[in-house]
Amino acid sequence: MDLLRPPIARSLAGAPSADGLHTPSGAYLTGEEQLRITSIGNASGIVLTLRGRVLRPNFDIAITELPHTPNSNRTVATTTIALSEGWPLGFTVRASTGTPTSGAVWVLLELVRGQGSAAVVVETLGSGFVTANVPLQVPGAANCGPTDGAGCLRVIAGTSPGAGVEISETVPANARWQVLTFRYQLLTSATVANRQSALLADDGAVNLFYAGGDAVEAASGTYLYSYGTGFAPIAGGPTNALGRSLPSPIFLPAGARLKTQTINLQAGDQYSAVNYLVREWFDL
Amino acid sequence: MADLMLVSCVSCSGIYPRAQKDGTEYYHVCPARRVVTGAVVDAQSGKVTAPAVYAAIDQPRNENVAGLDAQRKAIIVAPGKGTLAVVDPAIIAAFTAPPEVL
Repeated sequence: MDLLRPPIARSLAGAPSADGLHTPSGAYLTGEEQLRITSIGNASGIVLTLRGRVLRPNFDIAITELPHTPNSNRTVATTTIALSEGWPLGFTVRASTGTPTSGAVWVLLELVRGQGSAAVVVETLGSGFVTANVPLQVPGAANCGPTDGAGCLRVIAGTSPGAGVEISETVPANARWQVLTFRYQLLTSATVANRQSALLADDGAVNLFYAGGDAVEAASGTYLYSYGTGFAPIAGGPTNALGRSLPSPIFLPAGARLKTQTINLQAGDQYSAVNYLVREWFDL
Repeated sequence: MADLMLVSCVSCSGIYPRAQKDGTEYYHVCPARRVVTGAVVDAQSGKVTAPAVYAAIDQPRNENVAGLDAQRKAIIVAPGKGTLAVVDPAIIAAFTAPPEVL
């Protein structure tokens, strides 16, 4: 017996036996399993690299390496690779190209049998968010779902609408947002009328909340509106810089909208400088 | 910030960046309507004497992903009337300039 290599229980057929001896991992690959990596991401220019080791029955260690490119539009991307017979010792995934921010790419590792849509999951190895410096390591990582964790902080420059058009920002498909701040500028035309600008959210049909709308902006004005959770209204500052509070927390599903609603909006009025801060998760 | 790649939606005239500075994509969705004629307000009383007239945005654009085609390219919900690249430096500067001039 080779004293440098611990005994591994094997039957005459080569598969491990149940004789109570230690096996290198809790799983045994028969050669029919494939490793499938599934990802969802919100940024472009990212490539993940999966690396792992399998201990073959002849005690050789096979190194597995697999590149995988997540989609940038929050749709699911998958890559599979065949695995040799033996015991999987561990796998790690991290971003090898690009620098995704924390929470921008979520990864799921599974063992499957079969091909394509006919593949059957036989074991889930682990899941979590990865960056260039924070890998997913299985075994060992605590499983993290796509709506877990701190989310992906995003600063978004929104659409400056045309003249006479309200602001309308939509939560993208497969995303869930927590709104942290929202700000914009309203430049009113010379048409005499008192405008009152408010921020509201709806799910596409039903209004969810309404904030602000108390300040009056006259004709030929330039007002900056800022909304934030836990925000106390600005008092004593410039009369055209307004701060209003948002409900906290606010979680919006895909398809929900953040919009302005303006009393007496005129055809020549112009919203601009739409910028907001959200936390984003993937809602699969 | 010229690399924000600003485009203008032909349907609603909105201006927006194709991608954000952090590399994430931005999906424009047209609002529902525009003001054709604003409400007429009596300067003395502040009361509305004629209501606003609105028009629906014709062929609204929605860039959210509806699915993937056979080549796994994204299919958007509604192309609307399309987009045009914004090349006017004044418009680009106005979009990217900090608005804190009070």
